[in-house]
Amino acid sequence: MIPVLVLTHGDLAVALLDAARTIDPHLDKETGALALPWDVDSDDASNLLKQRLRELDQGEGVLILTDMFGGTATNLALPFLVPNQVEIVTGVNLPMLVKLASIRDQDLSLSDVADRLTAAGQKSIRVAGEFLRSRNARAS
Amino acid sequence: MMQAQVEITNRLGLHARAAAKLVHTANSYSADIFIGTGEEEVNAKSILGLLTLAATKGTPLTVRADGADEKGAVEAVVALFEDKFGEGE
Repeated sequence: MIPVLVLTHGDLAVALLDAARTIDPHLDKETGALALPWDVDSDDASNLLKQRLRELDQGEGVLILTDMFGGTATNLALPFLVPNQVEIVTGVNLPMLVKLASIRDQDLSLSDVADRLTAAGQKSIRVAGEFLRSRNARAS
Repeated sequence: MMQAQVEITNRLGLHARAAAKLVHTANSYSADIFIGTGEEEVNAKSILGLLTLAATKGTPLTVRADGADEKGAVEAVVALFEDKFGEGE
């Protein structure tokens, strides 16, 4: 399975991964979190990231999930982008990590995992009231 | 095809942790497995699909499986519901 690193500033990465592991303990050690201090030096952060990617990579690539496109964590990860080796998906949310846990047993490529998690993250953002109204309309 | 009726009896309904257990159980079978409320049916191997059922305590559900190991699959899913997903309430 492709290792995944959640990368954010502040404690978000660690808290998100903790929440996802509480829901599904199948999120194994191949899933990591790197929470960068807000005042971290960019060279230090880059070195930390490089080290974590090396630790996680088993030869099939690593997927990085960052908090926000255009944010510092994403910008820091961009130089590590290598086709078929390192991919980045921005806007990480809890449903993406829960989805990741549920597809852990499947033999998916780096780009497949990136696509599946992106779809899961986007699909899970809903206006709950509209969703329930459309469901009730279908039922009646 | 195999089918069975179940009812959610654990207090929190088919919440995220229960849905995660259901997905891992479903994934251990090759059969296609679906959970339905009567109005809609979702893939039991998709956690986000299961969560959109928003199935609360007391909701009657249909478990349906289609494939070589469909019998074992339905029995395993029914057992999870009967065990209240290991939550004991």
